[in-house]
Amino acid sequence: MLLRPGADDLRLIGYYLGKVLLGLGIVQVVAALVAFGLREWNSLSSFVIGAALCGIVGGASEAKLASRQQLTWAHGMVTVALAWLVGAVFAAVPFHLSGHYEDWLSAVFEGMSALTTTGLSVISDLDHTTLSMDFYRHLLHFAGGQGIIIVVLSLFAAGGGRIGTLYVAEARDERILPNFIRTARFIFRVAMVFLVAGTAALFLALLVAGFAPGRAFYHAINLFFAAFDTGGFAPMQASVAYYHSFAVEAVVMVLFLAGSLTFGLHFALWNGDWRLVTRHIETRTLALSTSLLFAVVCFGLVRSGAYDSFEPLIRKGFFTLLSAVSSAGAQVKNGETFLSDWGALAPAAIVAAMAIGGMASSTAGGIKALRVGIAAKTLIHDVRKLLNPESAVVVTTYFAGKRHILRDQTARAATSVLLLFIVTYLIGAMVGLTYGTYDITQTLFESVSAASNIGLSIGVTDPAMPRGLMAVYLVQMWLGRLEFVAVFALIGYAISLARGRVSA
Amino acid sequence: MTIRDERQHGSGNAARGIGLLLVLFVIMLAGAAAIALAALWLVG
Amino acid sequence: MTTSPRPRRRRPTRWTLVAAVGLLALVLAGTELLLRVKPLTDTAAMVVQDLPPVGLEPEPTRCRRDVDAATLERLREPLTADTRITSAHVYACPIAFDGRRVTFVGEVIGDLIERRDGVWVQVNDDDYALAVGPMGGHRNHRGFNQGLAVWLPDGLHERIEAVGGPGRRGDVVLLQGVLLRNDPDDGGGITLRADHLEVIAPTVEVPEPFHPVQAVTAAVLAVLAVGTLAWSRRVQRR
Repeated sequence: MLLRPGADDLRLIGYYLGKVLLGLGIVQVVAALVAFGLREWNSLSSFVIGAALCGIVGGASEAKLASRQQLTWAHGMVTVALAWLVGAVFAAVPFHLSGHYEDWLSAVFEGMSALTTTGLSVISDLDHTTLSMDFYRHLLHFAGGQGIIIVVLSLFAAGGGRIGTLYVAEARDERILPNFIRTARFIFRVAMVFLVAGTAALFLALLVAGFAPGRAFYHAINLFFAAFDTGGFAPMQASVAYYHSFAVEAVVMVLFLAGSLTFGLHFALWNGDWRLVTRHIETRTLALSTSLLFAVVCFGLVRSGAYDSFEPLIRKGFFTLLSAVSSAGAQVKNGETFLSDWGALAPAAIVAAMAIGGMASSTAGGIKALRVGIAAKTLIHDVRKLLNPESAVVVTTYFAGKRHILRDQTARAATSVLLLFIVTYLIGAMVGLTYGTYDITQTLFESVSAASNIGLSIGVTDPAMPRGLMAVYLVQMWLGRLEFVAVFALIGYAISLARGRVSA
Repeated sequence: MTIRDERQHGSGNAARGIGLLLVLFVIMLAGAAAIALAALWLVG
Repeated sequence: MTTSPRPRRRRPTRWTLVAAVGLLALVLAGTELLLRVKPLTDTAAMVVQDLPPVGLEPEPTRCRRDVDAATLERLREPLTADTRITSAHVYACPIAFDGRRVTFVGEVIGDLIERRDGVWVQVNDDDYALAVGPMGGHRNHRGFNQGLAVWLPDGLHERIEAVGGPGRRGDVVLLQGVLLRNDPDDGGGITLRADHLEVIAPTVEVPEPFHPVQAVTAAVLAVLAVGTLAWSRRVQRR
């Protein structure tokens, strides 16, 4: 399926990218308003510059690149792949202007990390940064998490049919409501409800924890964005450990859970359909894997003597595991202490949890529970076939919204992407090793964290880290968020673009 | 979800959704507590 | 898309790509330039004077939980109540410091988190706290913030005048207390339970100097953006 892109195709892609930039511009305007209210003048001007650039490029694209050409699957794929990259670059403008990033690559890294809801950060001196800049980092989680494209769909969409293709490309393979626009609007409604309820709950928890009301609100809204969108940034360098409060940790964990549920399951819960949730292959896969991995974490922590009582096992152990499973990445420990304080077994279980990831069709990352569940069922299916007489027909099914038959095509798609993730993890780990200053535990941990968009850091990600490694993690975050398919479409597009010019 | 479902339930009830989510959370935390206690008892 | 592009159509494609790359280069160069002309403050005044020297080896030894007794003994040997430690040393090998009485110096930052019988506070001992001051006013990158979580009981916190934040280097304090790697009151966190606090450097306001060139650039670009969007609306309506 080699496409030969013409000028019209590029125009179409450019047109939709322009819309994405307009959405990003709005995010930067919101940050600018916050900066204005807080009288942070340099931050204000940097946000205005960012928003203006988005407006200029986005507006020009809208005007000059409008086309009547029908959007196809291929266009959708390329647009989505480029949207994250282009978004990261334009989001990086205020970051770079803030002076808190060592160079452009660091600023783009932060932008990519923010939009892909990874949460690995390379900011210098976070604890002294302006409040509006810190807010902007978290707001980008929200924008990227709900999918820049979904925001664009809901706000700017004119016709329903044309943009349908984009939705499928956005690594979300569920259609909750028959109309794509209505699905997008439901997702947004869930986000809004949780925004209000979640921020309120965090605000109360922070007040109880001993924060002044103004500060409590500031931390609440930022923590909400980071937790619900399973991002991983936090207002302070100490992350969630900063609050020393189980109330805060509990609300954050509820938001992790909410953020890692597929929107189809939110829909089921909102309709009181409890059984749909409990029968779902992803719920069962995650319940099983998380239980097993937590058992390993506890065993590892107690055995190594790291903790010997109940509370730390939950507040440090389970919190970190849930942070990994939901791909949030908020930490309750300094990253270096995973190695120096936890023994070897518990961090290994965390890496496994990060690799498995959360549910498909949510802001979670990783291989995804759906694929892991399908892969497991495929193995079981093959074993059953082996054990049965050759003439017998063996049918395996799985429940995901409704009962599906496990077909070869589905099984193969799931296992292919699973393989691609594992290869990416290993490549990232190997590249890290070439620098000679890190060991395999560190590079594997960090590589899995980047490619699964988790954000837990064992200390490798750092403002002064080798730039080659930073670039590798940047690409991994991008690949992981798009789950490879869209990126490969983009590479294919670029190759045929180059080839097309040479051949004629 | 079919069109019929949507017409019957609309987009659902937010309070019910959050309530059930909290139930899910409590079940999850209880499970974690059980595992933690078991580990302490077996290994500690 | 099954016909190959005709020769005369390839020029707009190439031009679009060239324009895109050119735009990117412009944005890159533009932001770099703005950063270069940003007014900065002098950081020499931010160095905290007369700090007690760190009583440990210059490069922290990283250890694991199964560290051998000999290494542990070597790490613990210099530790007395007056030995100044750093957070970097603690995180590299928490077990060596567990339960020991130590001295710690750093900037109070963020919030005084008030509880019933004391206050939690984050105390950072990175270079932004003790050497160069908050970023924004300078371009001296020194990595991440780093520090310890400190518990201040019985009104010890009342000596603190202000905490650090944007544009402000908070009080630099000298603390003495017991370091715990598994503090039961913090659900197992690494904390310093202090019982002695003295302020050795007061709060310094270091507001980020206003960047007029950036402000003007913002205004100009904003006008351009509004113009472009207005033009775009008109073109679309046609």
